[in-house]
Amino acid sequence: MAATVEARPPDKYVDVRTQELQINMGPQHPATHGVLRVAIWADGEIVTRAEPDIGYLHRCAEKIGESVTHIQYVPYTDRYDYLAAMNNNLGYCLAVEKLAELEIPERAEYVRVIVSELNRIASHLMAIGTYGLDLGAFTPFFYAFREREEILRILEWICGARLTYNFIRIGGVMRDCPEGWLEDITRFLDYFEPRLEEMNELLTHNHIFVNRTANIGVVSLEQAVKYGLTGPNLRGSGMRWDLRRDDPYSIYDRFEFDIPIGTGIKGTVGDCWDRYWVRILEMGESVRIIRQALDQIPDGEIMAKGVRHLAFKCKAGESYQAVENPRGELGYYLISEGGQISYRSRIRAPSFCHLSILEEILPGSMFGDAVAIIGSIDIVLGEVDR
Amino acid sequence: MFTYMRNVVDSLRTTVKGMQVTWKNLRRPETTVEYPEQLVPLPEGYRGIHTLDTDICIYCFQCAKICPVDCIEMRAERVEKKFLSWEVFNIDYNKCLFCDLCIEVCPKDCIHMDKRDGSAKFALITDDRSTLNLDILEYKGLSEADKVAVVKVREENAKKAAEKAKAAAEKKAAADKDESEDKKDKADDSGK
Amino acid sequence: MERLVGALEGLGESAFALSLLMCAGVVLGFVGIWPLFAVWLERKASADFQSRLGPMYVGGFHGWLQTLADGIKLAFKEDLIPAQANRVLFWIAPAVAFCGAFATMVVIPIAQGVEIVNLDIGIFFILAISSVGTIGVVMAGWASNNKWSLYGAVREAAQLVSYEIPIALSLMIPIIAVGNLRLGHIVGFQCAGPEDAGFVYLSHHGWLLFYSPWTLAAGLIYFVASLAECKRAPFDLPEAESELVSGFHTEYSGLRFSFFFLEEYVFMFVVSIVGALVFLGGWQPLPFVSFQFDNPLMKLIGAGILLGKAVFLVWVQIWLRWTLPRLRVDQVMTMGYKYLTPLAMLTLMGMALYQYWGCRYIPGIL
Repeated sequence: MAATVEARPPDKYVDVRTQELQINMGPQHPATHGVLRVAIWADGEIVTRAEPDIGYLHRCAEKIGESVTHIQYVPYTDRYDYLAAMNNNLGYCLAVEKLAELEIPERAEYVRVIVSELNRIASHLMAIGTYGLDLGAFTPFFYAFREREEILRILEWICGARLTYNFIRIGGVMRDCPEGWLEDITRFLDYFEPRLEEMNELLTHNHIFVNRTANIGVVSLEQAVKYGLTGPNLRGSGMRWDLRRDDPYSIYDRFEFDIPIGTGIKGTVGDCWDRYWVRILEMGESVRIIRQALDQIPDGEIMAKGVRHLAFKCKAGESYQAVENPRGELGYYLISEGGQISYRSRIRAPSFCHLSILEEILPGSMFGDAVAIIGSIDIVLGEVDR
Repeated sequence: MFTYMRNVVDSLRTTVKGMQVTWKNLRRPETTVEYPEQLVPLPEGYRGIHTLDTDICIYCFQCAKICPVDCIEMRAERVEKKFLSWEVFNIDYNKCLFCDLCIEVCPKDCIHMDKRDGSAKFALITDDRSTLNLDILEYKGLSEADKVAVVKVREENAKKAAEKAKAAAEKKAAADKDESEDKKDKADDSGK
Repeated sequence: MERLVGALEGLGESAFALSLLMCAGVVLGFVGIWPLFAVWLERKASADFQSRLGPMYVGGFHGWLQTLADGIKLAFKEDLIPAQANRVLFWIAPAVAFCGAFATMVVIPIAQGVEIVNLDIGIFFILAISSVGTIGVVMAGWASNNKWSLYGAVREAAQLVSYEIPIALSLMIPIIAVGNLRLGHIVGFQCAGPEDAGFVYLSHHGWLLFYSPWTLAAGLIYFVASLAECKRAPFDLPEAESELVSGFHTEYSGLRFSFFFLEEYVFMFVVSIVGALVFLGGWQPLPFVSFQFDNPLMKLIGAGILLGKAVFLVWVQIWLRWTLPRLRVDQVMTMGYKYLTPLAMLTLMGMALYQYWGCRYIPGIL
């Protein structure tokens, strides 16, 4: 019997691979977080090649920046990373203020920090909520939205809008805090921290969740740096890099906070679980920052003197300002010729860089993992396509 | 073998824990409301549809100039050399960003964004896009009937909220009482 | 019902056929109504778990008519068949899938002696017929000519075939104790008492779940495996919508889609009621205390209790679904082959030895 087995050429029965299946994932797919299209070549359940395809949400953002005035461009910045509009506003305003050499009142700086950190929590809640959804856990998504709703209510209270705030303006902020607003934030923070613990119990330490995310989509530190990852994705790979600490803008050098990094508690450093866990920890740090800001906030003006909406001009020159967006380093590069309009406006969007790593880490993973990996790098397509 | 057993135990343990969390949330009150029937109060300064106070408007066109998307279409007519009167003042809500800039530049504070709070209409939902190009001269905020409806809804909501708060306070008081009694009991026990 | 069938049998062949039609009508009626309730239950339960309200509008009281409205909507939707689909298979598939769940209802006793067919291979029949649904799903996935559907179908086939082993093994364990495959007898074993028992009496064995540690483990294994058998989370791989859009029914719409939907909810009910009959004492409300369910009124109450248990198990399934994330496809296989199957085998062996030595050395256990 053994002889007959040997007589057959081994590859005929060992290699049972057949044709590769090419699948078009997106742009209308429940797990692509917007209108991303990923062309996937799959061998059974295993992804052999993946090509992200972008451009479905291209809105000429940079070109618009060269045709409207600085003041008019601020509402457009809301629309790139629409989950963290405050942070986008902040980055652009800082870049313009650098050009115009404006002095920002103290109170405005504190309000800016409070709203940006609130928006960071909201954005991370969205990220972890939809991540749970990608992995088939519906309920954490609703809990995250419930908490996010509270933040949106707080932000709506101060600026009148829920998603595209246009609240941080060149020279300060749009409105002063309404009465009772600061106290309401304290109340929210007290309510939020135990709820975060609950989220950990429900999702973070769940055995299935850990098994779905640990050791999946590992991005080594070298790879992360090579692809220009920033934000939670870089910190998930184990690098303690946060612009709020390493290149402080606004008044972030006045606050005490830690920079959480991925340490591979459940698997390897830089896996999906680490990236997720960094986001959870960062929400706690944001809470710390907001508490300190609430303690320190002074009275005073909220708008710099001499900013007239219709006649605001910058000095000639160029400026680059990067801020730590919830998704990573968001940079605005502006060249001004001294008028109301930028000569060149360029946006360095974190999600765009993050997306490029998909091609490297998707191959070899299983189909369900591909969804988990796309969810874990947390891209916003408005920002990718701009 | 150890990993095997740990996997079995871990999956059971974390599942039970997760179920405890969902059970806890099962007993919490709902956070959503039945929207058109029950309204969520909007804050002061909510950005809704514009209203224009034509009596104090000085026809400076600044709001149209600052608009980033050029959604304000305005044309004024000269009457008796000096005075102007609005011929056209349309805002195209297909384009509007609701960015609040037009309100801020107004030197006379005559253009506002209306809350439309509680008007029980899906404010900007329409199946015909052309209806979104609103004539702001026509639109004077809420109609009288709408205002009455708003007041009614608000009162009802306030009443409900008060009842709820009262019930919650009573419950809490009872719970506190129980707790303090428990503590007392425990203290007694430990004392013994 | 058995008596009814018997009485009609005497009347001749046409009457017998009529009686069969009547039985089919009863089952079909139940199968039509149950998903309306189950979907409503799922919606309301998930809403409660997630701090939402859920359907509130249709029908007045907590949107109890919402599912009916949705069903009517589905029935009137355009019947789409993709151009490149295999029309015949596409057309048959939902019916085949539905039959699998539908036919199992035949052998389920709803109260003492009330069943359509008192089959002596009851459990075996359920296990065998319920697998037919898999064929329907595979047909649907193949006929749709859609890669997502194909993935869903292949996953379904792999998952259901592998989970049939632990589910069968875990059902064997109580059968070792009972020694009979008839569902009625299994319940009878659980409420067996002394000969001269009154209305209330202490049963010899109690519910099979608490009969021995092995049956307790078997109950757990059965529950987990049954989740996988009816494609419920965390084993909802065939229709994992964040991965495969909608899995095998991606291309289905309207009434055909609703057949898959019905199948899922009916099958949830079937595994729950089998679980209730085999492990939770059927119509006996208490674990160790039994009641006489012999007159029609008591039978009605018993049926209510049994349905209550089944609904409770369905509710636990819903609870689990809204708590857990989904497993990955290889983890589902690992769970089936490396965890549930060996554990079920171990339990089976343990139960066999327990039964063998238990009978010999512990007097009065049987």
